[in-house]
Amino acid sequence: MVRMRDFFTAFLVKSFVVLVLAISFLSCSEYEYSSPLPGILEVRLRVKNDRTTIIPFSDSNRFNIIVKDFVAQRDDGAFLVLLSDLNAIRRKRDGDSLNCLSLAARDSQLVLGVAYAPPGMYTTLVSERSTPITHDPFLLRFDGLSYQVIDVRDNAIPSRFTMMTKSPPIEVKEGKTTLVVLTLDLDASMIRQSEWFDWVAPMVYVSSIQQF
Amino acid sequence: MTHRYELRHSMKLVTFFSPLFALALAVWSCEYPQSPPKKNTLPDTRLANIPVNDTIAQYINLGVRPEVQLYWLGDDPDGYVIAYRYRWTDVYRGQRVVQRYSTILNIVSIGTSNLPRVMMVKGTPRSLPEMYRFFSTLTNQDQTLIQAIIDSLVTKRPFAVPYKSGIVAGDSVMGADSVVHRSPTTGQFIFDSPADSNMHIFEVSSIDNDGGIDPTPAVVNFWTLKSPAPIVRVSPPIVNTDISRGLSDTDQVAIRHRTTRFQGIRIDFSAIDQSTDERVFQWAVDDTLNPASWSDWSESTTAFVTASSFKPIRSGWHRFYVRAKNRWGVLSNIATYTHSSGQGSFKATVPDIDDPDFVGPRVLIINDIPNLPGTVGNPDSNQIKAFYREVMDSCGLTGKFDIRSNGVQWLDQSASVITLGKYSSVIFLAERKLPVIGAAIYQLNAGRQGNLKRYLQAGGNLIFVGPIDSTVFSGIPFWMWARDVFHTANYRRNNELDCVGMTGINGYPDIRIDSTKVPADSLYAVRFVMVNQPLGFAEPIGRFISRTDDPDFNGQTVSVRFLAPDPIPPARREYSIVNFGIPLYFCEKSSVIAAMRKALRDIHEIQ
Repeated sequence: MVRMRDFFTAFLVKSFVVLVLAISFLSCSEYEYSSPLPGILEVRLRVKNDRTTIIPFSDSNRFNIIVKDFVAQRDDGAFLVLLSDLNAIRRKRDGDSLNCLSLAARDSQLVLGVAYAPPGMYTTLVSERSTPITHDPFLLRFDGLSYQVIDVRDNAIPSRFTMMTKSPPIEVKEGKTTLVVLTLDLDASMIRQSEWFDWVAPMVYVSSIQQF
Repeated sequence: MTHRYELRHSMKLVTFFSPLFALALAVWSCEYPQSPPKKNTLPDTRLANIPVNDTIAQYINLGVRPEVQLYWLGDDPDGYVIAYRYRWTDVYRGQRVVQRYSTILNIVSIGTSNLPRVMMVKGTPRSLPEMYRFFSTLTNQDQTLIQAIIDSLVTKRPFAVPYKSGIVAGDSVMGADSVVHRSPTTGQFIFDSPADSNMHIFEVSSIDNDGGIDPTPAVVNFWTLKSPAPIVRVSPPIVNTDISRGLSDTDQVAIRHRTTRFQGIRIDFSAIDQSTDERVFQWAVDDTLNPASWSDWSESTTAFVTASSFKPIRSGWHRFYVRAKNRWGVLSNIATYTHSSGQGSFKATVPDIDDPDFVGPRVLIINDIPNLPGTVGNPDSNQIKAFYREVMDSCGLTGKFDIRSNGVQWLDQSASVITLGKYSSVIFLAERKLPVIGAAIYQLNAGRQGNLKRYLQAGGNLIFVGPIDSTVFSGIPFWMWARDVFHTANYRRNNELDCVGMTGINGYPDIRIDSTKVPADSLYAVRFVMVNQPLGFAEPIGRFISRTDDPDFNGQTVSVRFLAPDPIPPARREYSIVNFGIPLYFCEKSSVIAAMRKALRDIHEIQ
């Protein structure tokens, strides 16, 4: 009799557990939207400079542009903040200085920004939320013996990277890295005057898009 | 009983006739749909702030200022006012000048956006009600369209009304002058008062929502006296250039188009106006009769005069004229500045090289070596001339260069800029310095430096040959010339017989001292060669070769070039400089020819 009662009790408990599990499984359902894994969007800076006699590419020469913020925008309007590396949580307070006359700048090695990015089409590489680019007030040129200082004067209010041609749509795919090279046309951005350079605006165009 | 019967009968009658009566009343109150519409009642217009017309008091009180602010208002008994139109009629010297109607839409905002300017319509089109209806029925949902309208008004560009049925030719609005109209019902008017007494008639009519125009416009007329003119004063010209700072107003150089080196001859002026603080200026040089000689009206009180304003474009004295116009459009006297010599406002030299028809290259070699019998290491004028003739011929400039060998005293005169200005490049030789420093016979004193600077300012080029030191330059410290013209600094002189040549860089060849041109006791080296440090855009082209491997000098910069940027037409190219810090006469001729060819190519004299 006691055994029967225990058996019955155990049966009730097991049934209850099965019932609870069944109810909880039945109440689960899939999200109504997809939640894919991120890709990586990396934007590198390349500098085009044809004035190689006056200001050649060299790690001894220096002209820094200062990037305080780089924000891309997806076609649905979502913003993506790109930082200096994948693990960074913010940029330096004074912004990141990038030497436009360095060999790294010539060889597309300067990282403008990188971030894990939700997959999608990024139609605007430099969004309105990006902070204007500033620069050092002078350029340093090394002639092998001494440095020459050349003033770089602002000819206009500092502006964001200004696209010279319409930016092609950039697709970020799940689990893949999209590498965009943004070329800064230094010849168009900085006009030589008799004794100084006039900085007009950071004129750029997308020169390559790779995905791997 | 009878009474009850009558009451019942009356009730029956009421019951029977009431519907008939109601029906008759309804029919009577209805209009026939095909009956003609009620005639539109035209609007009425009133002026708000005008005193009694044409009184002596008004003549005296208002007449001095040909400017008035008027307010008006319109009413429409059977609708509303959608626009106003007005016009001025001026009567003076027996003439009656009737101006065109101006029409203003009575709209101050679209949606929740206030309009930055009042909307003007060209003429008085019949479609005015449709235009009004279009703008007044836009809502915040049409934000893109509203922004486009606002942009057009701000920039005073016509905005074609985009009806649903499409654009209709002529149906467009434009922003009004914000000084004149701050709202559709007010105007700040300035009008022509050229005669001793002038009458002005203002008429304004309102337009209602049916397009009906008030047939009896509100009218006011009043008189004005002749408007007082501003009085203009001109200050002496100022030289406003970087390298000819401090030059007097009788020794200026002028070229046709501005460069960063030549901003123009600066002349300041001012005006006193009895009535208003708003004035604009217009200036001319030499000719005031030709309207094309006058500049555009500008608020600037400074003129930067280039040679293209000269009538004719030539060297010599020129006269500067300026006049002002006040807010009422009244012109001032034509003022001028006269130099104490009485010959004009300023004297300027326009170099031949600035003439678009100038045919180059033309090179002037300034050689100040006296024509005494020369020795080895101490050449005479003929030896120098023969050497450089051969060099220039080898560079392909046969017949395109002159050598001036009779002292540099001629450089003292301001007219020397005219002489220099006939040449696109100057080669200045300072060769006879070896092996010892002699008398400062080819000193560039302050005056000669100034004239050379003027030539450079105008776009001439300079090739400097030979060691430079304080015996070559006097009056103004050499470091100033070096900094401003050569773009070099930190000079150090090697006093020993140590320099045996230079190692060429940036496309220049190596140059070695020619042992046949220096005495044996010189150890085949030259002394007093200076090393330096380039500044700004200056670039090294040669490094010192030390006979003794002196670490303080060996490999240091001795020769420098400073090349001008490419010009932006129509401006001409600014000056370029090549400074060979060593005396080329004492060097091997083949390498000197190669170096000179490269220098002439750098300064765009040869291809």
